[in-house]
Amino acid sequence: MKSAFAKRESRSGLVFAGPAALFMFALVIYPMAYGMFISTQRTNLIDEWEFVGAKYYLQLISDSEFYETLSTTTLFAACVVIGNMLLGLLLAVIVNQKIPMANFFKVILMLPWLFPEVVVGLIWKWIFSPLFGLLNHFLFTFNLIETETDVLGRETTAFIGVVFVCIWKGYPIVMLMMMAGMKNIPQERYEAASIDGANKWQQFRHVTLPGLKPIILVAIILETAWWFKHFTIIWLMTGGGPAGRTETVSLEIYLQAFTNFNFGRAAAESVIILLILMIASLIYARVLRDESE
Amino acid sequence: MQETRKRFGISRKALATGVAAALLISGVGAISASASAKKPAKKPAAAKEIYDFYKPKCPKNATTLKIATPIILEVGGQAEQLIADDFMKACPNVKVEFIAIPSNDLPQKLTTMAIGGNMPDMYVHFTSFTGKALQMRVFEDLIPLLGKDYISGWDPMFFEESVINGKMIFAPWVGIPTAVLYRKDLWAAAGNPAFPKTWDEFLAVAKKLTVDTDKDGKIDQYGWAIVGTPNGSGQGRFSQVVRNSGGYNYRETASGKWESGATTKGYLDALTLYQNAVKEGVVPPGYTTTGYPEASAQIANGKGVMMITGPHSLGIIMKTNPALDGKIGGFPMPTNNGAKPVTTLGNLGYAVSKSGKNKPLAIEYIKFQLSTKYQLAYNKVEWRLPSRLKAQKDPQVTGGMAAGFVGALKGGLWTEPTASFNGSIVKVDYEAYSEAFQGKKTPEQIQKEADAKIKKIIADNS
Repeated sequence: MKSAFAKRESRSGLVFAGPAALFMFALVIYPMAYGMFISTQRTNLIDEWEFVGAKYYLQLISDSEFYETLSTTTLFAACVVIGNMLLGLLLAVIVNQKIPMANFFKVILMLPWLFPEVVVGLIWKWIFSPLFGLLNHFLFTFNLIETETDVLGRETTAFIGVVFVCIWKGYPIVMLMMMAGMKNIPQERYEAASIDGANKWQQFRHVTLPGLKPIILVAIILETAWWFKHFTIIWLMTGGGPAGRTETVSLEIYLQAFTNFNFGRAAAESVIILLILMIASLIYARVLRDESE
Repeated sequence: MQETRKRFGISRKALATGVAAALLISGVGAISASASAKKPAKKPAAAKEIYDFYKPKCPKNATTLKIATPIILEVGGQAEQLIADDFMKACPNVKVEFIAIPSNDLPQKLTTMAIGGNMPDMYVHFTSFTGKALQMRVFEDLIPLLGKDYISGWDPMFFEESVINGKMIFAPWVGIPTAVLYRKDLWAAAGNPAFPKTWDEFLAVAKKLTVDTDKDGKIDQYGWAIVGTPNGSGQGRFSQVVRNSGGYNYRETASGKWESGATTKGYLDALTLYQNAVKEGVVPPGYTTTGYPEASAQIANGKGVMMITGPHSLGIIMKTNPALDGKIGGFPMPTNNGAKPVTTLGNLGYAVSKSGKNKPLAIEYIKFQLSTKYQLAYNKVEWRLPSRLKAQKDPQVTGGMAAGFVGALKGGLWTEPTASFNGSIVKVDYEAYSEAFQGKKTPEQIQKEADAKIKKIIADNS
């Protein structure tokens, strides 16, 4: 039998946790559960609701196009995350050195992150434009091409172009996180490494990187989730083209929901993406934890 | 529900009978959906227009009339705003509030508004939204609200397309028949070649018009300002080429089932044309990201000479380059496989929301906006074809730069299918021509893949 104190403590706990739990339910649990519910319905979301069970999941499992889209998305997210991590880390290390005007460079390097994605997408679309774009202008000026290069119009270059722009947009946040992480690495470790004869690369390899591991884990998880479901820049630059070569799952979900108006299937795709991202996060966490152990 | 339809001109008596039938039975939709070709006939001899200038009945209380429209963002927006301003002068206690939505986003936005229970009083309806509007039941039937006297003032082909299953889902305002727009001055500079009658001839003319005008070793004028973006603007034009090659992407059979048309010769010819146009270099670089505004700009600045489009493009081109006044024309679409030139009507107009709170006022606004005065005011800035018979007969409409587009209606008409999954077919189409642009697959391979996708979409949605 619980004592009066224990009961009172339990009630207090509920009172304190209640508001947060309610917010959590309203803003996270309910939308997710509603999305899962819709994935089992053939619906116009107004007055037509027909339970179809796992129909849309079964359609997706047997749909080779969906696998192609997933594969494109995985490759896109992997390229952007790796690019962001490498560039972000490299620039963080550079601006963390005692160099003149370091703060000025930090501000300049942060600028891409401050632009809205819509602006970034449109600016780069215009830069890449074969008729009016700056890129072609410079390539012509330096006699590097003889005819216009349509970066976003060719399947071989469109993907690279979109990945490049997303890395340009995304590296500053990684750089910022890494810079914050470096501030937390005690200076004594570098001094000790230096006394032991470690050069700059060895210091980076054996002091900086291990010290940044928790930050790297968080950055990779956040970045993967962010870019795996990215929509804006791809939509504005290529609309998923040419011939579907840059069509990621987010575009596919949008098109299913708002072009085909097949909300059930769009919700089923969203649920699958949620599961994929949860599994990816668990794998990252496990791998990095094992390494640190 | 679509097919090639001959222009449906009929006598006034026949028209009156037809309208009465539309009021009494729910079979008018079947007329517009008929798969059989209709005999060409004349329009009503005397255009009936009961309101050259409609004086609206104003509400007693202050009211806001909300209208979702893409027109306000376009060149025609000045006419739409003029109508609203004049209406507010006529009814000082009414405020007309436009919700501006780009035309390619309109179906998505309206769907979102409907789901959120936030529909405006009125919205601009394109025929491509018909399937979804029927599925969501968001519109009010206008026939009983407008009255049969008023209905008889519409050109029958506009009216027919607005009536599905006996219900009038929007009040036709203007149409944009599709033809080939061309620069007369650049055409003359190329020696005034004959207007192409087939797509092969079209490609040959496009090659002739693709030139290095300043002789710097670089092509700076291209024959065909193609719209190749993966969206409704690009797909709509591709679909016109398919239709004018005797093919179709999908259709409803007599037994009420949907079938793929991607294996038709016309579909293959359209893919071949798109692929060859790129191979021959007759389209400006950047074709996969060239949308309607960019292609119009290419015509305006002389980068392109021909463009598959409607008369509304005259507005945007003239706004960009006013010096082109009188230097733009149109000719009917070329055809293949013995097909006759056909076009969609590009019919659009205001619909009244079923959930709207100001339905009587919305009807007053529609009658006011469709007055001959304002039909001509809109035509003046954007050359769109008025839907009312009286306005259509005005010399401003029948002459000038838009004459070639009005002439395109002398051929057959076809209407976009109204399947609720139409959006998915649109996507298959634009993926198909995007693939053709890349040139890595043959048109036959692309056609086969498109056919498989369309069949799957039909199966998934049946």
